[in-house]
Amino acid sequence: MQRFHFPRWTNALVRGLPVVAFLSAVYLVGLLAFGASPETLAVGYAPRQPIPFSHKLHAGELAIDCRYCHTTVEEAAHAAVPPAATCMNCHTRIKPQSPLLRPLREAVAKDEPIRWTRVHDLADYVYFDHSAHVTRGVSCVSCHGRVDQMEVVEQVEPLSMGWCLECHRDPAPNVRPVDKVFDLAWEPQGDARELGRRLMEERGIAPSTDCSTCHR
Amino acid sequence: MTNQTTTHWRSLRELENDPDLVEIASREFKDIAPETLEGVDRRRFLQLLGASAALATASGCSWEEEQILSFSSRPEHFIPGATKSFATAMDLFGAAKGLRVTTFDGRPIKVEGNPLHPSSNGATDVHAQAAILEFYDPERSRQVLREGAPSSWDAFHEALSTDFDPGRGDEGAGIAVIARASGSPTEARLRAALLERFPRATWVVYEPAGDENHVRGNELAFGRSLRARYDFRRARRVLALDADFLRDHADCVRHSAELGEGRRPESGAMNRVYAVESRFTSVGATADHRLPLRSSDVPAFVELLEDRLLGERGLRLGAPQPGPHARSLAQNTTLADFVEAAAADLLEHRGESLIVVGKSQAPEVHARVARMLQALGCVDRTVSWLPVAETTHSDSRALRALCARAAAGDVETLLVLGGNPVYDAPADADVASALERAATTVHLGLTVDETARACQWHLPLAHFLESWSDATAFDGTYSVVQPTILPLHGGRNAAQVLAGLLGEEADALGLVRATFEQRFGAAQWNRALHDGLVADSAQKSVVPALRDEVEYRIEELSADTGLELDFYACPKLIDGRYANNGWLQELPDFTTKLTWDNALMVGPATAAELGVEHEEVVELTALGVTLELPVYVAPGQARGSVAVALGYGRTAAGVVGGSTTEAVTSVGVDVRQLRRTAGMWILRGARVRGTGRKYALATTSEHHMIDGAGMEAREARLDRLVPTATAAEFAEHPDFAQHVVHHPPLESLWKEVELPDGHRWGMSIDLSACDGCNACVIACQAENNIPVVGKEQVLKGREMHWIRMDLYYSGDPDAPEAVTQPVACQQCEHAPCEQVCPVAATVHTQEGLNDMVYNRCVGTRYCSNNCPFKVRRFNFFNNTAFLDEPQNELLQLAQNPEVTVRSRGVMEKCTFCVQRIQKTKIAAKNAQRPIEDGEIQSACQQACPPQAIVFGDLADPTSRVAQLHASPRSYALLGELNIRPRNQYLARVTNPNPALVATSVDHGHHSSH
Repeated sequence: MQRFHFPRWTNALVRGLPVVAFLSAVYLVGLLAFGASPETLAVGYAPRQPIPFSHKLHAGELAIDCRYCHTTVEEAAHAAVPPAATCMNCHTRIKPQSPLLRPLREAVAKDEPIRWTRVHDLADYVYFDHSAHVTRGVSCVSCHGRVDQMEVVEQVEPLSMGWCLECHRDPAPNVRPVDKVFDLAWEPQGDARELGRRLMEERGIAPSTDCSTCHR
Repeated sequence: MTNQTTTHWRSLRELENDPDLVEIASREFKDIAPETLEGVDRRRFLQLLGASAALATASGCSWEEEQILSFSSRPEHFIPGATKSFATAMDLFGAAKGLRVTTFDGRPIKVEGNPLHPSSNGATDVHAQAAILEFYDPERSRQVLREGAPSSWDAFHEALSTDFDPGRGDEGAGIAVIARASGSPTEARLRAALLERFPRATWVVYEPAGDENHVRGNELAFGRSLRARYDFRRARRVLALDADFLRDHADCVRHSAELGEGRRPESGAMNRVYAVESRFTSVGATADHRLPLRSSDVPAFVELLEDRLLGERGLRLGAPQPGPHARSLAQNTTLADFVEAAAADLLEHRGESLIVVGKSQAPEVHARVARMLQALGCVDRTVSWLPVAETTHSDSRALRALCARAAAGDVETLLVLGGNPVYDAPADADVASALERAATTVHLGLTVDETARACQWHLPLAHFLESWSDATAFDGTYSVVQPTILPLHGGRNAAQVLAGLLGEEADALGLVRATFEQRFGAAQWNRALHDGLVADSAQKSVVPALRDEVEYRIEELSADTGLELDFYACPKLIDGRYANNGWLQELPDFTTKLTWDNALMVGPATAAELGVEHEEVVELTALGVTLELPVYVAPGQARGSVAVALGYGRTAAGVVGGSTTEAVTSVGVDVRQLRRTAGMWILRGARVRGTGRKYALATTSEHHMIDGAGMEAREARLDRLVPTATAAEFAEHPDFAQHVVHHPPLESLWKEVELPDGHRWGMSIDLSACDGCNACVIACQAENNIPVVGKEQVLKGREMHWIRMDLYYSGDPDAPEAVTQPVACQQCEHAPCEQVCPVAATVHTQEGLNDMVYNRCVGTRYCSNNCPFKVRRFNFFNNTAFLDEPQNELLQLAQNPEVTVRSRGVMEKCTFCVQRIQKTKIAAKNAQRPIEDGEIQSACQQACPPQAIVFGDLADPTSRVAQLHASPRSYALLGELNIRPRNQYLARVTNPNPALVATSVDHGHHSSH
């Protein structure tokens, strides 16, 4: 039986192998860098909203409590976006004619929803619960950053599973007195970790890292 | 058969040690023929690999942008993403089952029983569980149709205004209504108003699986329409005569709960159940003694029983002598012994005994049993008599008479208010021709079914989950039907349609409140709405006098009656109304494990006599009609009888159940042509002839067998899988289940892991109480988004149910005993599945759950291979892809948002309803309080009528589950493997009559040591 020989022209390909190897390496490094980059993880994501609502003005300068609008945050998984009626509590009198607020007035008049773009978007197979965190003393600021200083809300943390687990494994730096949860400017006196550890002990906080804690 | 009397088997094929089955059972996935794996060559493999890589790249890199739609004004107390539950009720056969419906963001997603309601006590049956799928069925009709073309409610009322003109001279002689049995007081009120305005109008109630023989029998006995309400809590001896009171009864959930209470040996006084029946039913499987007997021989059995109970040796009340047929039956010693033992037992427990007769038996039989119940002192103890409302009393003879009148042209306007009589009426009530002759015909229904197609008008019916109504429980308790959402398709209910025809305001809530206020006053409304019922509104029972002058003659059978054909209401589809419900179609029937078909049930001996085989297509001839249908050789089917389920062969059910317009073949065979008003349930003189052709029946009895090694291993092991003892043995050795398996001291293969203090979730399943109602299976399916896979896939063993009901037969195949065992993931502490997963997709939690992480799973299926219980299910296809098709969008709403919808290539299994655990844990921790025992209920537990399933925290020694685990009856399945399942079973204890045990064959109940 005749042996199989590669045709002679295939030798030309062999010379190209280092190039292929180099490109593969670049590709792999690039892929990893891209995959782990904050941009991919949506850090800094700050979409335009139908109404240029300023958290900096409302939560920061006017110091309106987070819970005035996000009413369900302490009792439900969702920190619900407020209904238009909540805005109108003030805006019937304050800037009632502002052109920027037209979508709001239309929503109320037509009884239609305002279509906000979701900034902090977890995957559908993640079952995150706001109430479980804020009632334990994990502040809004731990995940959402200084929203009270944001003209436009943007994502400041990667919200990746690894990032969640960091805190679930070592929550102490992020646990604060429950009455300070909505005080975004609050800074601990002394060592945050030490305080957190004490609070965890007092309140029996022992976050689970089991898969079914978040995935069902 | 002597050596077979001690064997246990799941199917007759297994009993015969079919070599094919042994081969299949030795493989983990019976559907993967070895050749397909070996046959894939390298080239094909690389092609597939390349294709999947290309697809993976194409499927995008980042999330879709999501929008948040906020309310313009959020309703008070409304929390987005939180569930709420509302009390409501479901009317089936005119009897309400009290329910609590869970809604999520304003849409119903799960049905539970209402713990306050006497009909459910918090539990449900398969039909209530499946109501969610029925509600979101994309094929529900969406508009008023006139001759098949879209129309409107206004046009309908306009068109019928002359038919229902109050000024018409003939007092409504041309108006006729065919209604389903309904317990709605509002509907009854409007019916009365209609009949007052049109006194000569006809109103017929028809239920294809109604209990009219029972009511007519009591009319014979007492001279008035009465229905029996059984109290199984007080009944210590129960004799069921062709009666599947655990499934085929309007009050079945309560029956199941009460009977189950007395099946537990710890209850002090265990009840004892005798079953005499032609078909193997759940009552037969639960019974301590079962006698297979043709339905047409049951009257003779009743004669013998009456003679013994009321005759010289009984209560000396004098009873008619048994006829010649009964006397010839009594020659059979098994039967004679059975009668003797049962009668003696009933007499001994006078006032605590109960005889239940099935709907298939003639009114005369019911009358005779009523007389016996009276003599046994059962009235107002184990049985109470309740007056029958006219709107719940089905009357097939009246339907036949109406059809005859209509055929003669006497009916101008024919209204079908719910129901599907064109499909389900007996053959001698020709509803189709009646609808053809009438000038105006109207159908109100959930779908455009067979009857809708035959009517000029079709009106979309509002489902009970979307419409205000009211209902009456079997015991008469007033129940409110509260909607959980606005009507999806602009439907209206029967009361609204009637009100519209009477020219009244057709506002559903207004109609219900008017009825309510008339009876209870306005003040009680909020309470009733909250509870779902008005407490203490049950009917008063009556103590009627027997009409003793009447002789209830029982038809004397001639010696040669030929083969008997029994019809029975399918425990899943009932009369076909659930034919388009995939959950129910794919639910394995309790005794046959048959899915997606009905078949001719033939006992093994009868099959041999007829020369037909399992899965052979036969010609069934009776009354000049010949039908072809497949044979199912069913253990326990009485010799000389065959049986077939109603509810199949629908031609206008939809894409699930069969539809001629959609070119979808019907599921099963329609046997309506063989039903006559005179023989709704039993037909004698049928002939069966084999054709030699085969038809594949999708039964799951041979799927997911714990023993791959076939009969031999099973034989050695069954007593370990399901240890059984009699009450006497139990009294002597309460811990018999612990001593069934002898094994050397257990040593762990792994380093013992110390679990931290905290919850230790566990479950206990009581095999004495479980009667195989399947409610857990559908409840699990609804809660956990378990897909339906279809008949082809079931044939390959790919059904996805997370909990399965294993059924083991034992003894003579023609008169077997059976024991059932629900099996879901046992949540082993040393889980074999976790050891073999290469990607850590199944891992242990600190609370002892065996987590399944779908996103990690790469589908090696090693875990399933290594699972000794065979409880893992693999998604061979993307079983949920159809949800993305535009016509199925509505079905997306039926999914539980708290549970991931799985895709292809992923393994899944029972999680102990981890979403419910987390929900309660979070709520409790938020409030800084401990979790109470019983606060977390798994879906299967919540649905279970006899409360056979208990879930809870084993770390709390006072919890119910911890106490049950400590019971001497408690044992771990395959405990000798030392995998420490967190689920344990309570061994089955039966309570046989010593008098019968001595004479019957030894059933192989092992000796305790």
